[in-house]
Amino acid sequence: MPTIKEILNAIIQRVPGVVGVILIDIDGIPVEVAGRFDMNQEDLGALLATCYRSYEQVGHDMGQPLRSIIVEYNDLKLCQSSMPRGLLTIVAGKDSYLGMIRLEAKRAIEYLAQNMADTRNVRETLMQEHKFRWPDNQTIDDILSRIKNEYK
Amino acid sequence: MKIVNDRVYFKLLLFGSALAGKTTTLEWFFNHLIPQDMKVTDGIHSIKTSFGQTLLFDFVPIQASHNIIIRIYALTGQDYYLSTRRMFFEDVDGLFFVIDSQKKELTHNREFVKEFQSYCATIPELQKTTVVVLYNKQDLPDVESPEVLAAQLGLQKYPGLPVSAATGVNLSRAFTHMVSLMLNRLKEARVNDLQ
Repeated sequence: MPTIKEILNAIIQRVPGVVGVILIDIDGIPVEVAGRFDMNQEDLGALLATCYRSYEQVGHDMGQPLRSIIVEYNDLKLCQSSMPRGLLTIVAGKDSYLGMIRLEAKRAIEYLAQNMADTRNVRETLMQEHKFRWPDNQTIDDILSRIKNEYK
Repeated sequence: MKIVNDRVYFKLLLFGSALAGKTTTLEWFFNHLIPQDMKVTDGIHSIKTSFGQTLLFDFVPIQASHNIIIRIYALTGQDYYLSTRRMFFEDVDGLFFVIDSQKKELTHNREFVKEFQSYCATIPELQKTTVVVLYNKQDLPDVESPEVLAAQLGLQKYPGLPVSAATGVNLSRAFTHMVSLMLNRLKEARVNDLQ
């Protein structure tokens, strides 16, 4: 099975005009990014998740589940789709085809959903892939000491 | 606390009535307390109304170490945007409940306590969240003491501090207390995971 990164990269390769793809968790934490975004990923994740959940709430109040959001800027298009435990956002140039983007998003979500079907497995795989190490006590104590010392 | 890829993420909220001082508190943290190299962004990311108050949230991510990120949100206090607030209360690690200590604000404060209680009733994990109450605007005249406010609002079970977001009094203490409680949870999680 392809990795999350490979799935995101495939979207960029297959759809002309796509400049970036980001997978965030439901809280906006960036899980994986491919391509280029001209803004901080943490900010981007927080904003995308909040926008999505605002529209989700509107849908909820109207008795409608939200499937995707399409946004058009002057020079960019943005397609945001929900999936189990996350949100997939594709950003493309203004001349790209929305139909293709939506189709690729749908296809990618099927793979991503399989990939992320078991949260525990995904967590462990990602931790291994990214060589996750628990911060040690010294690191934690250093953070506290630095914050305490910052304010004089 | 969430682990994503090689990073541990904490979520810290500032919650309270409109004009209680949530954004001012966040600005003070950002400008006076957070070391420069821990700042991921140049400033606070704000989504404001046309009249300059917080519409959705103010947001600051802090990179406390190479793999510890603390994401701080100051939520809107406007009643008009009530429906957008609930979505922030999932997976919260720490919550600063910002109380406007002015006597005339008691009713507003009560409404927000009620709102918080409703979230606690519907989001079970919120019971485990570290809550610190900031009794703000203690530098102004005609305010109640933290002890009286805690009793009036039923917040005695949470630790609280008299603060002034405008002058920064006690904010350093509050922030380091909150961060140390959150990071201690990280130490516990690490020990449990390694066992």
